[in-house]
Amino acid sequence: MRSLAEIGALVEKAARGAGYPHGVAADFGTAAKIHLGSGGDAAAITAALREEPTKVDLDWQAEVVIIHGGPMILIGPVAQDAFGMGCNEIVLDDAGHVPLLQAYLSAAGYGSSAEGNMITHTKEPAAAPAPGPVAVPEAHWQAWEALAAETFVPESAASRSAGAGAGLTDND
Amino acid sequence: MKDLSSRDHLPLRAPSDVMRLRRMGAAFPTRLSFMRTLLRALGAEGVTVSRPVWEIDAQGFGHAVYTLRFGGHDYALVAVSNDLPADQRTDRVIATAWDTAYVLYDGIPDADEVARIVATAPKQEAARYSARDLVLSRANKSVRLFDHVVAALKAGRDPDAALVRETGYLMRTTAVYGNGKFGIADRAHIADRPGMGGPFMAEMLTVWLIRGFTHDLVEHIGGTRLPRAVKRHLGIGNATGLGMAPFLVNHPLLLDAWMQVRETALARVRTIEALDADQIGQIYDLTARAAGHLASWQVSDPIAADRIKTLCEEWPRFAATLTPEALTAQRPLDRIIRDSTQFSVDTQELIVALLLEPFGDLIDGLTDCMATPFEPRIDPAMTCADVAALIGRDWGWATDLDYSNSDACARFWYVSAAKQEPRLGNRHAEPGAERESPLDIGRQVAALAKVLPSDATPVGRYLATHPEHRAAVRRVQTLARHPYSEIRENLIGMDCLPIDILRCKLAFFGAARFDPKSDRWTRITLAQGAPLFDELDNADDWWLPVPEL
Repeated sequence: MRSLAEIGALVEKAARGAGYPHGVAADFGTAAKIHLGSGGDAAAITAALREEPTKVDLDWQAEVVIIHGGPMILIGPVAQDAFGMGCNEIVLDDAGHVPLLQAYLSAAGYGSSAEGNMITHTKEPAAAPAPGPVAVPEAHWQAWEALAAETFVPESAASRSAGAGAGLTDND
Repeated sequence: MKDLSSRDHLPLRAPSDVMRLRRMGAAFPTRLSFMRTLLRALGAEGVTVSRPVWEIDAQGFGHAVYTLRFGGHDYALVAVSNDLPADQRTDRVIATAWDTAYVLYDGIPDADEVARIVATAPKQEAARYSARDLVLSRANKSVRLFDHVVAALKAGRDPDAALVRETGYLMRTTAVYGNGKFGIADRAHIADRPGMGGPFMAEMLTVWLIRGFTHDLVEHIGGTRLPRAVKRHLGIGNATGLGMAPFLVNHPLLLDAWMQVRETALARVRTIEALDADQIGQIYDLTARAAGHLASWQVSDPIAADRIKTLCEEWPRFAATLTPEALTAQRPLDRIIRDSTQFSVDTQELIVALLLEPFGDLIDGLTDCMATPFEPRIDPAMTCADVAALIGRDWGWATDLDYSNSDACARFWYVSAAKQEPRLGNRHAEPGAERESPLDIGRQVAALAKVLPSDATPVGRYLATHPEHRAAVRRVQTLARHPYSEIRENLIGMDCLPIDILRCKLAFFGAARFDPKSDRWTRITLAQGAPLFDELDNADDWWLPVPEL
């Protein structure tokens, strides 16, 4: 079992390790907590982390945003902002993105309903996820850890002795 | 933040001054600090601490369980003491073994749960925990004082008062993990419980219980009781490194809440029109107490020692200004604060902490506003021009710097692959900067300022094609709404002293006797002078205690 705090922290690091800017990585960590805390599937998170961090291809229309393509981790913040700017509908190119996208919208306080690849803004506030812990299959957890490790600096003698500003023994 | 604007008071000190690192690094504990808040709550409820399990051998190894009921819930500290070889005793995150390990448990653990914790807690980060475990911690002995106290007790003597004063604790915690780390409970499990809603309340409870365990442990090994005055002076140490710094940077709304509360408290106190005789007497007593504290505060770090030396020189001059005429004037405390600018920043901040102390009735309720359930949010409808205007208004300290200058980007924050220890590197001499942690907030906003169009485009549309600036836009908008949310300093600059970030956070915990070991590592003492388990009816008068040994 994993706490929601652990999940959020690891997924955020994993997104950074996958090459995403840290601002959107932070949003993905928050969305992942809500997604899994609401009974979502860890596979959707792993799949999102494996997408190339290419740009989002989209059309802004009066009250609708149409997503033609792009990675989930960049589409999520766009969707949050679209609702925040008054849009009421988001049309996705990939219906597989719907559950995670609804978690993103919940994280920003927006209720939503989904039909096919279309997500509609609803007046009902998003339901809060249950407090953790939640089960995360080990293979997914390890995949996230591997990506997160890309943000760590390899150990060296100089780093070990000087980087933390403290000595190596404390027998005082 | 329900209580912050409910009274008329003078303006708060300006964030542009309060949030500079030099001033943050001069912070002292106050009656608003988290340990003080916790102990007031425990005292108000008449909490009693029991010790139903004490399976400790003659050498001091084994386990114990302490229990209490607080806010309608049972909690237990499971303490495990092991024999640690000297060559393994390090306070660093990279340690793999400790003298003692602890879990604060949600409820009263049965024998199986105690056995589980006894088996896992000594492994710390290498083990997994359950959602019944609320806090995970460990502590190492101050070997010299611990052994001395045990030897003195065995010989039927009191411990040497000078040694007790000099160290001030029997053990130092080296990590106190909460909020879901390694499988322990998310904070959401307890955040709504009476007494546990404030920041770090479960962690403070753990630390206070650990302190009591260290007292019991030396008395058990030594075979007799410590004098009460000695026990009260023995707090719990803590060794803290860079891991604390990212917390304040990454939790801007929490930082804002803490600062807003302290500054609102100060503004309320400054607004008092006249002091009564009792309040004047308290101020005199506390001024003398602070002098005693300063006289016994000795450190080896040259920067800190120099600051303390100045404090010691200035404090009598400050005390001399507290004439009967000054304290019976109109709005005397406002005048004291305004006049304090003649002294160093350290003395100014000690005066702030001092002046808050006698006025619990006026300010203690503000501590209800020190936690926040909210996270920073982007307002995507704000125009890019308005975002640019906010940068121009609030971020000059960041945008005026030239980050291509080697000194302006001299450092980089990173997380080591070794147990994920946070560290600080020299960008121009060490590898790893390409994996730097994003704590360079000022540089990020300066980069945004250079490219952000000053037009009517909603910033949400801009971010759809420039996601690399999302974090910076969020910081800019957050600072506009929460003026104390940002450390207004270049955190990657050559002159940045991370120790100042650590001290600010530790002062909010209630720590004192800051004893820096470098610019990024410090020891402190918590709960020194705090009530013992059986003294919670006298829970609140221990600001900067002077030992009565």
